[in-house]
Amino acid sequence: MPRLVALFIAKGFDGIAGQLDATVPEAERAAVLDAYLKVLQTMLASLYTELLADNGVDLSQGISGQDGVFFDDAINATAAVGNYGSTLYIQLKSFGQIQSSGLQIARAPGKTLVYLGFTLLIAGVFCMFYVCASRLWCWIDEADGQARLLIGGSGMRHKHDFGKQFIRLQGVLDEQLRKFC
Amino acid sequence: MAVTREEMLGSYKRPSFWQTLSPVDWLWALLVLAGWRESYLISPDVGHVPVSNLYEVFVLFAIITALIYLFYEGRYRTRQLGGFVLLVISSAVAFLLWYSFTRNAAEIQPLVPALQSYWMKIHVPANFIGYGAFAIAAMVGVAFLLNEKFTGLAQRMPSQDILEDVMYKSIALGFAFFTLATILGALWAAEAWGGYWSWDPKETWALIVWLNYAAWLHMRLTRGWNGAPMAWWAVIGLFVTLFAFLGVNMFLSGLHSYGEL
Repeated sequence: MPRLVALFIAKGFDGIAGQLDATVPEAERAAVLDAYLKVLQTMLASLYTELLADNGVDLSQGISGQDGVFFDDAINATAAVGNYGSTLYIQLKSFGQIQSSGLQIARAPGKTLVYLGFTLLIAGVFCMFYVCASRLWCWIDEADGQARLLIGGSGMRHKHDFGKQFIRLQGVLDEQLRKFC
Repeated sequence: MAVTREEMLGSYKRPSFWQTLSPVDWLWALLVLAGWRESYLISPDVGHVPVSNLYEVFVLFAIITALIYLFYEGRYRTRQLGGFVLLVISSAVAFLLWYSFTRNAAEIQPLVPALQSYWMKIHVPANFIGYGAFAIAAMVGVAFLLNEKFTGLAQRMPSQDILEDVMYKSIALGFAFFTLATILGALWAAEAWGGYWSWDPKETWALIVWLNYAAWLHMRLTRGWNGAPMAWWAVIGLFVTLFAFLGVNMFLSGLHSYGEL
């Protein structure tokens, strides 16, 4: 019988019903359950009265209404506790708020230097894209007794614009050189 | 290389940037300025540059992307790329409509204390010049790839050479401003959080975006990579950028949690 109480405390009424389903043939279950519950009720009730007597409660008039309600509630609560997986509940009753401020102090003696570095870095990035290096090569040699001018160039950063510039340059050179011919 | 006679002579006239702006653009600018002013009318402490939450930066994104695009439109004298770039801008506007109708996001809110700083005014716009330029590069990349596939389309579009150049120019512009924005962010972080870099998810992803485009530029400038692979890379780059812009806010938490979605 203490096993029955242990089962009730651990898993509640559902635990007892589950145990019955597993061990008792279906036809007898209702009767056995009835018996189990009666035993359980008697055991817990006697435990409770013993406890009350230990605490010096006068039981000559039977259990008072208030204690009876408490007992029923206690049974219901114990039966439900198994569903929550824990027998421990924490409930906030009050709290004291402690006001505080966190202060963080950072010292950066190199700040000016860092700012200067960042400025240079940004200037460098913009210069990289917008101040483009172009290269031109000229090759003058002689072919069939005439001077021949060969020009080439590259502008990796601004290929498209450089292509147009180069053709414009070609035109200008052509025009200027023809004046000498 | 396709060079016209006019280009050879170098005598053509470019329309100025201001000439490319339509009345709708001016109206739009006016509305944003009105909203900006309105924030100050509500209360002087509520008033701020409209770059402080997801709604405001999306408006900024749409504007900056459009402005950069219009700049290139004037510079390259081509309007054919507009349809591609407008896909991104329209998606941003569609998102804005959804965001303001379902979440009431257009409402002007006071600035959270963390954002009450002059750094915000420059850090955020610099970042969005980066995002906008990367978005344009990706859409030009899409145009480039479609041109390769469909000759019919290619005949109506500017030459592939020009598309590559626009792609490079806008990635270079975006990269330069993204570098600036990251450094401004580091300086702000040093003031506000006590350290230049704290490996916050937004910072980490900004670094990933930065490294991605650094590699793109490096491959083009020193290895001479070009053509379809670079166009694909620019398109993939948009997704990386998109994650840094939106994904981080949606899936990761950290110090940069100002625009929740």
